Amino acid sequence: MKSFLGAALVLLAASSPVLAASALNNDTEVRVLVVTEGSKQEELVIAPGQTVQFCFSSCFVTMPDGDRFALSGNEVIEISGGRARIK
Amino acid sequence: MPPALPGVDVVTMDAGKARNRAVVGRMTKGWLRGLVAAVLLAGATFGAVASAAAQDPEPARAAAPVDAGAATEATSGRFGGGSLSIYDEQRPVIDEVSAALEKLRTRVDRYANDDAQLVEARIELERLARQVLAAGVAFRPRLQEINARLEQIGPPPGDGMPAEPEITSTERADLLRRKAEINALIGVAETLSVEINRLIDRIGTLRRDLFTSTLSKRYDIGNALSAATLADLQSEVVALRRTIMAWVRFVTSFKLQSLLLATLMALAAAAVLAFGARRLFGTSMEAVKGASPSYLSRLSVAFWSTLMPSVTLLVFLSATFYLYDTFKILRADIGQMLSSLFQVIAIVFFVNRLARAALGPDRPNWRLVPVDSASARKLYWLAWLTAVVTGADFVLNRVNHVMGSPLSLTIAKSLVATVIVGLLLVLAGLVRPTREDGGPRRFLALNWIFLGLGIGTMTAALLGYIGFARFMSQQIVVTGAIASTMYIGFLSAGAISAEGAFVRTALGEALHARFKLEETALDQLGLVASIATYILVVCVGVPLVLLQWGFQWGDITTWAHRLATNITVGTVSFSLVGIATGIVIFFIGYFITRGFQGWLDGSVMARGKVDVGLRNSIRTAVGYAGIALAALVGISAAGIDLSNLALVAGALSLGIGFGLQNIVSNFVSGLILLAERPFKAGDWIVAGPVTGTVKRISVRATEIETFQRQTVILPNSELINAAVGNWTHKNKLGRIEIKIGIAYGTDPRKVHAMLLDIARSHPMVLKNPEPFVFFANFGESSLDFEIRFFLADITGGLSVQNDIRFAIAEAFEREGIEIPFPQRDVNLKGAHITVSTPLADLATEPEPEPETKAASGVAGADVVALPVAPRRRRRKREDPDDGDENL
Repeated sequence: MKSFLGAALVLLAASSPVLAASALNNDTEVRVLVVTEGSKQEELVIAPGQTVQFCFSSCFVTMPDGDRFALSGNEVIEISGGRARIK
Repeated sequence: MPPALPGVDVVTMDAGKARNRAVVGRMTKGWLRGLVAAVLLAGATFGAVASAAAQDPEPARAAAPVDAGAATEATSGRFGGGSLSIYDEQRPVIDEVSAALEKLRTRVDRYANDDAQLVEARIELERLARQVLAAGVAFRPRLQEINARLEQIGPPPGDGMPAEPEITSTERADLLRRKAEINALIGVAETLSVEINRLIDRIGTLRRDLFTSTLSKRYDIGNALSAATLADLQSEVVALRRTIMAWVRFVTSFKLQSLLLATLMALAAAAVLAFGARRLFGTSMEAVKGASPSYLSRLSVAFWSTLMPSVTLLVFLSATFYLYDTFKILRADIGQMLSSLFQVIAIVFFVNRLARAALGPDRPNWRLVPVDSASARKLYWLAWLTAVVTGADFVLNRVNHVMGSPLSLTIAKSLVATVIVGLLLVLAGLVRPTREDGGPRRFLALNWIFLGLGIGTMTAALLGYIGFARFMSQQIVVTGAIASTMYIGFLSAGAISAEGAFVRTALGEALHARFKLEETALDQLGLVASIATYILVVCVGVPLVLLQWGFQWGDITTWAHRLATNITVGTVSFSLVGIATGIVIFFIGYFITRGFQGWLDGSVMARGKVDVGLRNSIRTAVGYAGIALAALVGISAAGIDLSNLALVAGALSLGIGFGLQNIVSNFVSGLILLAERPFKAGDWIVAGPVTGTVKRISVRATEIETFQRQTVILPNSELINAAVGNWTHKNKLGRIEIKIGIAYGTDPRKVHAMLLDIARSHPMVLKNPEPFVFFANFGESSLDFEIRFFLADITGGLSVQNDIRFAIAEAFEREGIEIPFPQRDVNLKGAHITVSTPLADLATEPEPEPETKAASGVAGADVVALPVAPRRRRRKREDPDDGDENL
């Protein structure tokens, strides 16, 4: 009985995924990402070693070295050496 | 996004005869979609969220396989013409989106006053936004590739370094160029996305303005209530009859078969649903007359008897309309009118059943609200009539719109309808139910609310604010119905959580029979069920109300999603879903641990004949390890960042360390006890002044039960740091010593033999090691002997000691051996001692007279004879002055 309840709860929890992109700054200096979400464009400042969650639906991101990416949520971005990589 | 009105007929009174036939199909399908989605809300919420998540990666996934082809070619090291394919592919897409955006922009400008058009445009724009995003995402793998390759090649050589081969520098230049192109294109996509979203925002603003202007627009009543209006009404009725007859003729001549087929199919669907519902919920839908049901049964009957017929009717109507539309039986104008008619029928029926169930005008035992029968009947009729009038107004307005009737007619109809609704609300407000204690009927807060609403509506209508009055009356009916249903849902949730209520329901009894659950477990399940019901009611009711008030489905899901995943308070953000996931994972881990413990103990260790103490130790250790692991996993799943905690913990560690010294010491001692097992549960131990049986070894302390049945809880550190004696450590073998002293003068050898014989003859005394009688000492008062013997079970030693001692006492009694008291030899120096007569002789002598005693002089030595046991010999004491009486 308990396992049945547990299984039901697991299904419930699993059916709602967490959608947010996150960026991790592996450098020793502050990096700035330009995030365009909806109709707004804003700068996202990430301190060294910090992980920030942003972009809950979909957005465009411009990296410090000029690369542009379109994110649809759930991606993990790692910044190292000024270059960004998406996992 | 700001709200606007969906189904309410925002009367495009300025547009007059403007019609858009292409819109009809989509509008009515929109209504269809909306209603069906509203009914299947619970599943749809998850589905919508999941599909929103799935929708975006899908186009990317579709584009990715195409790109994979280019990728495999590219990774071979040569970048040929195939690498341009992704660029060439997406460029036209983006151009297309750009063109579509321009078209939509002009459309929005043109239809700035048509709410339905704006909604359509918004849906289109959202689709475009998704397309643009997908195009942007499609470039991602290519960009990653180029970056990887650039890294491989390495940076260009600096000054003074040897020049690199030309191929490399060409390749690098090429790659950089391509990257720049792609970035530029993504930049264009980004700009497009921003534009699209700006246009969506603009649509929202326009709709909001439209809504406000509709509500605040004032019409000229006088103009409407003139004689010309009656003439208009007549002509409209004629025109309507003509239209309908034309359609009927068209159907009967060409589409009769399709009509019958469609109707039959719809009926079949509804019938299946009705029968299925009756089979599953039959008893819970019937309100048996004369029964006296509990509140929970009443609620459940009310709920099911409202929901199931309404859903059946809804399915029938939706299916009919959908099938008619598919078989092209409907014409555009007829379709609109029919759709509005169906909508109204569904809502009015729902309100009717709801009022009937809640107020129970003819079934006082099943009534949900505490009112008397007369008031219940009045309220029922008033509620139902309000719904009918409002619905009729809605349908007639749609008819006006379709037939293109003049404005004055529309205003007149709406005026009449809203005034009637206002009157009905006022009448409802005047209904004061009699109180049970027969006191005077008072106005409750609810009465005042209804009065206010009714007067407000009438005033607004009579003053000319027809739009506002219509909006109010429609909202009162629909939101009121949904709110009443939610209220009944809350009541039922509360009733389920009442003690013992869940146990008595059909579901509770089924669980009891099937899973063999006990009362307390069922009670707790009842609490869980009531919480689930609360959540379900909120999740279904609130979006329905919001949809009514003009919010879009997309808005609602976005909000719900944002609420669930990210709540930010200042700089701290947490996620409800994350926390729920963490809790669920912890409980799963907990149950797994328990199950594993039980399996390990019951199957593996019991069958392996491991002894009880070891099993207990392993079981406890596994339990703690499992729970710690589950907690860690749960916390990390909840997304709680433990690094902040670590900082705080580091700072406090000094103080905490000092304070928790003893606790940690106990904890570690507990672990050592579990591992080393100097004693196990059931052992008889002596720890300092406490002696007893070990009952339980916990992490912090050990429970010992003394023989007085007092439980002493000893901290583990005491057991580790001090000496602990364990009588039953390896086995229950133990030695018992019985000391006995015999009088001087007895034959020691004889006694020795006797004692040995007694010891050997007891059945519990072990023969190996043999009992031994030890001649311990020439004591002060006695010859000290000690019997030493071993028992197999030292815990039963007391009774053996009793037996042996009794045996000794009897044997000594038989043989006449004396066990002495402590003895003292007393030496009196320089005293004249004579032995007097024993006490028995003294008793027969007469008592001498006092005067004769004095006269007779010395009669002899009067010795004080103390009463003594005849066996005991005592030296008699004498008064040394006795011979000197004549002084």
